[in-house]
Amino acid sequence: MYQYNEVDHQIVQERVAQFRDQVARRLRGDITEAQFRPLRLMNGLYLQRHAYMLRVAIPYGLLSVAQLRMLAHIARRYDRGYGHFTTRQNIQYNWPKLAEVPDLLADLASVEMHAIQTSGNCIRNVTSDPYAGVAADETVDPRPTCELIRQWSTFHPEFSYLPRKFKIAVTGASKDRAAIAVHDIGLRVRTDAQGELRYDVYVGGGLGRTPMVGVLIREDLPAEHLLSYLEAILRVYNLDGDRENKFRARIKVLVKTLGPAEFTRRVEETWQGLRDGALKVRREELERLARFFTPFPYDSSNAPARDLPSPADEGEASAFARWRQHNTRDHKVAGYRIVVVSLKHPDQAPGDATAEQMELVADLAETYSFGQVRVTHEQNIVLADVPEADLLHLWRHLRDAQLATPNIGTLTDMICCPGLDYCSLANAGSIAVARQIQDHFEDMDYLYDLGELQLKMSGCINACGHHHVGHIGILGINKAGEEFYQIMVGGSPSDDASLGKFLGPAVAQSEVAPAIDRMLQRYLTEREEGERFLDTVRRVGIQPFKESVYAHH
Amino acid sequence: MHIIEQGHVQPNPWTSVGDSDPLPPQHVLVSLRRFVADHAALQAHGWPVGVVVHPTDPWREHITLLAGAPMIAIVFQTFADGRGYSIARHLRDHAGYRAALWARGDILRDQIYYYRRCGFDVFDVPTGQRPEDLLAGWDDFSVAYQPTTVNPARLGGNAAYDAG
Repeated sequence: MYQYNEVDHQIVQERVAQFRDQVARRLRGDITEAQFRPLRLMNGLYLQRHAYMLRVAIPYGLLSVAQLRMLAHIARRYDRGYGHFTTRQNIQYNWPKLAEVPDLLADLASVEMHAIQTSGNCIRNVTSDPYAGVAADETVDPRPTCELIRQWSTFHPEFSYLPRKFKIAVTGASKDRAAIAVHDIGLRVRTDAQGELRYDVYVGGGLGRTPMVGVLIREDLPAEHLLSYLEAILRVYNLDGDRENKFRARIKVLVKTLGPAEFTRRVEETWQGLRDGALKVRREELERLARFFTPFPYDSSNAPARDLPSPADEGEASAFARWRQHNTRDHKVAGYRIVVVSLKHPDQAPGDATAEQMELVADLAETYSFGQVRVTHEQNIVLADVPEADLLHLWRHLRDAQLATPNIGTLTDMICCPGLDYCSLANAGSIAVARQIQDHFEDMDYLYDLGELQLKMSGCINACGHHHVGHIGILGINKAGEEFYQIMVGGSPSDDASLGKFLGPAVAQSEVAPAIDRMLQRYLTEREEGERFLDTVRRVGIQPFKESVYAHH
Repeated sequence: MHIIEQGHVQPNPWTSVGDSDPLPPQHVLVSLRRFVADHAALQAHGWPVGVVVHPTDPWREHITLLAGAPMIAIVFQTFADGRGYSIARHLRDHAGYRAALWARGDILRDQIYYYRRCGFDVFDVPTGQRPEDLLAGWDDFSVAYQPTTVNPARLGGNAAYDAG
């Protein structure tokens, strides 16, 4: 993975010093909370319902074990012993004290981490495919591109006060696991016939109040032009984006208002002045960055034919087999598996991990997976390079720490925002509903029969839980002080990106899981051979599901 | 009252003049509207005439005229309106503007380094702020990742970047 050089270290340390001074000015009373707000928001520090919340960047979701151990240390030292992994491959701490945040940042800096641009109207942490570099369907490893963009966008002086926040995602695989269609900019990287990197540039996707799917504005962009082209897009957005109305300020509204053709014309015109300037990306630079992500020295003798350790008994054998089937994925190298560590145990809020769990995963990654982990936007952790022969041992450790719930890709592997329990924007709780769904759907065989299902839940219209692109989406709302939930179906964040449709009036909190269950029963009667829930919705429309959700009235 | 120029606090030599006011015999600062409409008369004034640009002004339509101004002040109505950064870079990098570029309005000490890197070189100290507080943010960073209009001595990343 990328290793900091002197420049990286210096920037992060100077940032810690700057923020320490800003906090000191606030604590001395030199500046008001109103004046402090834009400063802390440049650094991922939000004032939430009970306390400050700090969001720490995990660039494109990649962590070394030393970094993961530091995240555990921070959870224990500055928080209440846990952290929350987010839908943008970041981690959030809910209870840091303001006076201690500078020390916390210094601790992060010691392991090449920071909280830079994790909030505010600037370019946020670039996200990517959690299986980057190991997926069997990958054409190009997107991580060198991500690192190039991370550096270009960090403290970019021109784009520190954009009309609104700005999110970039990159994929290099044939199946999009980075949800590039619902980002402000989505990039698909591939190689042309000569083996040169090329980018397809999508702009104007996003969720929130006005969800939209991004449009392709440039195909086959050569790698040398990537940064100048991004700078042109950002400059057009910075100058022409809506600054009057916060809810019309994202780039998606500008693209829609101008129309993709006029938006593209402005970008291309701006780009003509930039394309041959200092931002031209040299081949040597891409090669230098790529060297940080060379494949591990895989042992080909790990071939599947090799004798594998045996489970102790029949019960363990079937539990292990079930986990292997659902929580591991094909690796591009024979004899290795990609392991998804489930942070979706019924006893924990989705995406939460305790300090002990983080340390255990760090130890396991060190022993079994070349010392690295990835955080997914689906709020799980991935050990990307585990030898088949080690799976049983690994699974036993994970199982004992409640990290092996064999539910990846099923209904209970849900995305869920922190909701009303923490967030000052939320209208309704989401963690309690997640728990209700976990309890209601505890029969794993039933879950497996329901097949691939993405449930995504947000506690308010801002859509941190991506409800618009859930096969099933749930949106919490507040009606006269009571929490209600709208249910939608038919969304997808992947190559077949689509936005879900609401089924009808919101249901009471206690009714969410039963309503979903009735809807899924209907799916079982409607589905054709091999059809996922999403496919059935697309084929038959929402009417049958609408009927089943409101059937009890 | 004061400006910061080349890192030093100075008195402000420019007098703002309304669109229909007579021109006093000194450095004057006019709106973009007057700068365009009265251009010939202003040339005959005999004293330097600077121009104030708001992000909502049609500055792009008059870019050639602006490039010849002896001084341009870009207004930040609020610190959160970041259009001024892009206007500055456009003037500096594409329109060939070389004279003084002022940041005025709601300018923050914590953004000084950012303004500077986009080509601003003079800061109009807002009423109620102490110039030395603004100066404290002058060199918040000694390195940068990306090449922009003005760069620190050291740039990270792409080896092609030359400091300039």
